[in-house]
Amino acid sequence: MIRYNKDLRERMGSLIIDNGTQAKNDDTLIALTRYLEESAEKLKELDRQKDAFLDIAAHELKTPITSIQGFAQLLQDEKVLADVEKSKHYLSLITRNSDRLYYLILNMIDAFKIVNKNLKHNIEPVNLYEILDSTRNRFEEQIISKGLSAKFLIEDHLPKITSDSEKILRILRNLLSNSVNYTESGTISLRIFRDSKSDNIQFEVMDTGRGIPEEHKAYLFTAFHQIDPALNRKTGGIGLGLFISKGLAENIGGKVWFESVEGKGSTFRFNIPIVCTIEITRETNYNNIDGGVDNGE
Amino acid sequence: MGNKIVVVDDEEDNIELARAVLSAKGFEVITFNNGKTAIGYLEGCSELPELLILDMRMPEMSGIDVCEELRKNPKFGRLKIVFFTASSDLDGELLRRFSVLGFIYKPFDIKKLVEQVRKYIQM
Repeated sequence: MIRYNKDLRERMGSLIIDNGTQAKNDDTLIALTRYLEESAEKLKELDRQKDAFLDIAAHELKTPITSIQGFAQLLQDEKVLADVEKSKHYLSLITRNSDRLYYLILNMIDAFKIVNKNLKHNIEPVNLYEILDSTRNRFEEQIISKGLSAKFLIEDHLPKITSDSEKILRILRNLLSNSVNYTESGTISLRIFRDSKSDNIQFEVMDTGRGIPEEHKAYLFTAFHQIDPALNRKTGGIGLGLFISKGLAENIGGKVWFESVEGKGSTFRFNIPIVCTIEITRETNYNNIDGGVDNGE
Repeated sequence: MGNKIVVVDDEEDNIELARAVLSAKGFEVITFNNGKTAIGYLEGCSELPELLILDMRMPEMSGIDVCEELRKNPKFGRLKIVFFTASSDLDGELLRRFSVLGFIYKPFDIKKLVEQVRKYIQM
């Protein structure tokens, strides 16, 4: 907003200085009007995001709380407690809903940090083979249990890079979760390789799922945008995963993009520079850079 | 007087909670996770439930859509309906428009849920 005001003052200033030249003033006025219209659109978008957040805060946060409170109250009944199997089941529902609530809050906090450009860095040597193993451990069983094929591929002899491994893992988690949720048959694969053209490390998540309808493509990275709200509700999503992934990738000097054909599948890619391009600030935890952390090979 | 209650909510855990709480108090609880199948069930019902609890925010058919659909059919003109909701800023106009008795707010105290259900049935 401060930047807008400064731009506006400069533009208004040029309008006053040029008041001797009618034609030039007309051009300035047109440009100023366009600028104000664009600013109004941006404000409308921010307002939409604020409304979406309040709506989600009201509905999505209260939903897991309803289950947590309700089942916890049921467990205070001695008759319920006497039934060990029922009690265990209710406790598992409390745990599941607590996890759901935790990730909802985490995603909302991250989304706001991204909007406010307030994400902190945790720069360290990153072993890409460990990234692949960790992601495989988390997703392989889930993919196979859904009756799908899983492929986890990584190029040999990749260099050690300096980046933020937690952010890389979160982006992969978001992209693979989407693939698992939106794929009913076929294959889900993750490939990590060096892109020699741009000298970046590229991560590629490919699926043979339902793909992205054309009308959603332009809005895919917008906060709270959901292709299938029914499915999102089942999986606990709120339309922040791709928005956060884009923000996290950009935060570590990379970018996210995708190709998709409806009915055939999607490929999401993100890259990160081999050489750390992140500006080291006072808030950055850079101890690990000099700390000699040995990630092995 | 019967004691059948139909609960429609797309959140499976909330459905299970409502069933556990209300069936423990002697209600026969029939649940659905979407409005379409609930309407199908009600249309084939010879004896209507004492109360229909409809989650307002459901994908495909919202609670309001279900209500609107049901009220078109004279069979459901007198069916007692309440909305299940997590919103606290809803007004009475919504209730008047669809002849809905009231709201049950989430999250709820389980004792209060039973009390509210009994009160709505007696209305």
